[in-house]
Amino acid sequence: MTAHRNFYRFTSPLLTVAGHDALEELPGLLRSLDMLHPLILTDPGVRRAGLMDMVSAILKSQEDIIGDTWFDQIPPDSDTDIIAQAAQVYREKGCTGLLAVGGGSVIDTTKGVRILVSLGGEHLRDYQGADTISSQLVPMAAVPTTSGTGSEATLVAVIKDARNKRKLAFTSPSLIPSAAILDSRMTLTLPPAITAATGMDALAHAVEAYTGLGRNPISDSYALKAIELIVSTLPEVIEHPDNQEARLQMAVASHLAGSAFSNSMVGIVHTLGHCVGARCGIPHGICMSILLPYGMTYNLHRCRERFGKLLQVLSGKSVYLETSEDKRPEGAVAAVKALASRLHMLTDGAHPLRLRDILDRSGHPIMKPQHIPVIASDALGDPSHLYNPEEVSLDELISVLRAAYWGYPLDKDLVKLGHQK
Amino acid sequence: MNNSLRYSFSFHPGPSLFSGYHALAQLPYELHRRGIRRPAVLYRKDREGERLVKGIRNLSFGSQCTPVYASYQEPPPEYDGVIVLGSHGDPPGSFHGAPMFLILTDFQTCREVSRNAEGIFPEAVFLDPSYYAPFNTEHTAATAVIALTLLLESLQDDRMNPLSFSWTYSGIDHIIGSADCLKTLEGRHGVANAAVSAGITASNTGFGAVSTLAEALAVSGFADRAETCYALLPYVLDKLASQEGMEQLNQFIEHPVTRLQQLLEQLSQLGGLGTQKQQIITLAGCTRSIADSPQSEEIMQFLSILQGVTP
Amino acid sequence: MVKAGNWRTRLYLSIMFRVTGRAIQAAGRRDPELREIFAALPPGFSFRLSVWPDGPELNIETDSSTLPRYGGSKGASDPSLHMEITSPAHAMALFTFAESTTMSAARGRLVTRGDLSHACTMVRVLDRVETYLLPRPIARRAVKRYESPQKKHRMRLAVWLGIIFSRGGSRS
Repeated sequence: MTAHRNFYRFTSPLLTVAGHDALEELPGLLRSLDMLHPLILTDPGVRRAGLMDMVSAILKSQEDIIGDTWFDQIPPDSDTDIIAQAAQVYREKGCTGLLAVGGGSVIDTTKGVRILVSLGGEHLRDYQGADTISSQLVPMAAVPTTSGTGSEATLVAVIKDARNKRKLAFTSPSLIPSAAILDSRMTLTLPPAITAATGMDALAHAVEAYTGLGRNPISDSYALKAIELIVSTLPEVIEHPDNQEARLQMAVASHLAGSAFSNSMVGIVHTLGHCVGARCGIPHGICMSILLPYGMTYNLHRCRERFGKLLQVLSGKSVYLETSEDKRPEGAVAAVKALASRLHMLTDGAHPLRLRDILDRSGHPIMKPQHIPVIASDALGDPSHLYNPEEVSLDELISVLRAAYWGYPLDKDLVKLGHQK
Repeated sequence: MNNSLRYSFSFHPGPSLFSGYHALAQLPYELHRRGIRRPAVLYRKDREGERLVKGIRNLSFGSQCTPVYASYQEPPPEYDGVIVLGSHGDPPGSFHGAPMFLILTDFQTCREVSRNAEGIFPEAVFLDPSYYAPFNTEHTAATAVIALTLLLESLQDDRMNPLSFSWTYSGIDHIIGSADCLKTLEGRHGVANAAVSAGITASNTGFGAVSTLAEALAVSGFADRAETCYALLPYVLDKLASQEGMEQLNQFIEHPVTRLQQLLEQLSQLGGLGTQKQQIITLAGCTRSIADSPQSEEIMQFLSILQGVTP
Repeated sequence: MVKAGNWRTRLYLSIMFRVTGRAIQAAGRRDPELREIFAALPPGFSFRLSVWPDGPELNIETDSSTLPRYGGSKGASDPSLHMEITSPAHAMALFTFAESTTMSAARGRLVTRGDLSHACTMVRVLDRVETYLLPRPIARRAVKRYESPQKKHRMRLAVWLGIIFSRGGSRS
């Protein structure tokens, strides 16, 4: 990184509190954010895991805080109707802020509620777009219960329109939560397969943030640190799920990666991942894990030096120094593949390595080869490819998907090389 | 695992950062985004201040926003946002809670972007090379040494965490990237970015012993800030060599100790530093104000090391 | 460097907006790929590109045959997609082709109201139109990957004739 003459903007106005008992800070945080009566949003899974009991216990002992206004019926594929219902509860109960306790879906839903209760109106779709939400929104705190989406740190919310099932995308610095609490106890009960998939999601955020067009020196730094933490921690946390130290590191890494991509945006891996997920209902983290090495290979020629630098954090300094400069970019791709393979092994095959290996309950691949052209065509309408360093076309997206589906290497000759450095 | 999180931490990066050419062109829209109609533009009424204000007047604010121009010391009675032009050494005050937009043109302390006395960060910070105050290589090198001190000391602090580390690394990387072109605007811009990183990091981890001493000596007029930093930074580096902060830096920079030592030498030559080394040690010993500093014990420790090595 | 907000900036931008608007209309009606792109947009789609706070704007509407029509500075009161450049200086960077549309968006200088997938489509349209409008060395700066369209010279001539003789936007 030399001094950047080019313009950049870095926004991350949120307060991050992290620790093994960070949740104990919640009452103080709610007071400082002036949200003594939060609407607490969560999903049934979080409730079942007993995580809400912890939040309840902490808030119960606070006389000045009303901590029993809940909305706990957020489904995994939340939509605008759910948001309208939650907004209704917020208004009826006279809440003064929002507290999200959950994974990406809960936090994104809460962001949607935040828009509605702050700006009024009935239809969330009226506010969709980039940078359009400019007003100060009601305060929001987030307690993530997975380490992957990083949604507690981002300016993005993606919400399904209940009317036509299309995804509505919102990006605005105003959407970044006011505070995030990363507590290692929140992710302790996550099963290994989900830990692996969400961890690879965070890795994909960091890698794409580091190589995307919107990158800047601060997002670079966040991304590199995130990758270093993920690589050194993810296998450990799968082998020893109750290692609290490792759980906390993963939470912090995912948070860093979220903040990085919130500023630089993502690229082709997410473009394809969103569309595979939407068409076939495959979990986002798994799509990311499978597609990441292919997306990297696709972009490799556009910023070889940057991909080379990734080897240093992916494989450690000694491997980096031993590898000749021209081999480092490919080394970085191989390191990501090796990490995915290791996760595959550690989870006894539950973490898949090819798209065709994701099976439904009857043992058949969820995604079929005939899905490929449809998904590629969907992908051209996904805004994230705008920020990908290389241009994408339908043919190329099909090639990448085919390779990721069958698990063979991506033929670089099929990628038309762009000219701009 | 190298990155032990033995401590819980909290981190607040604070302001939005707009950096690079045409960064300031974004200012009017940022006011518009926040519904600010009557911002007070506060500047120093000297030639430099007038030059900067001219740049602001050239921006298109739209029909709904009317900036009020006033002296930094005498803000107008009514405003809904504050635009502070130029560097004032310390972070500006809080101006009755109105959102503050800081346009930095120069750095004296590298604390310009940090929490002010009320614990508040500016809303946004603009670093636009077209608006930098006139600078020379010595001044830029001195800024770099002060920023480097804040950055390296943040690695020693117990409150260091992966987020603060990211800002620290970015700052150090900017200084390394700029050292060979300090004479140029690009070099100045790189150091400016590092100074902002330093202020934000130190606001979260705390200001270390050398920064505190340098502040005390500079405020009391005994010694130049950069001179103090230069005189004492080698000891910070020595101590840091065996600490976790350096271990983390080692993952990102090749041979960080040697590299940083070389960097410090390079900066001191460019900045003409090192002339006051002896006086600093003597003066530091009799500066009363340091006794009040929370880090005074550590400062005394440094002084004893220094006196030990001085013939 | 042209300073933001002065008369030269305004003049340059208003000419460029008019040229670009007419070029979208001309190319969008002749180029098979662009026709396909416009056909895929929802019926009655309207697009506005403008410069905040009071810079020029261009409006495109698709008519019943899904072909684009340039409406100058007159357009729907609430267009389906509105992209707003956040300052005249940033618009200059974009329209002197020092910065691509994508980079402008990545740097947060393009505020987009509406469906972001349609914004993707319009960025693709702008990129494509620029390859017709500009000589190759300049167009290469404006787009991520320069691809020479088929029958480029014939299309280029048609687009330029469209710009010169079209009446679209003359009301502005």
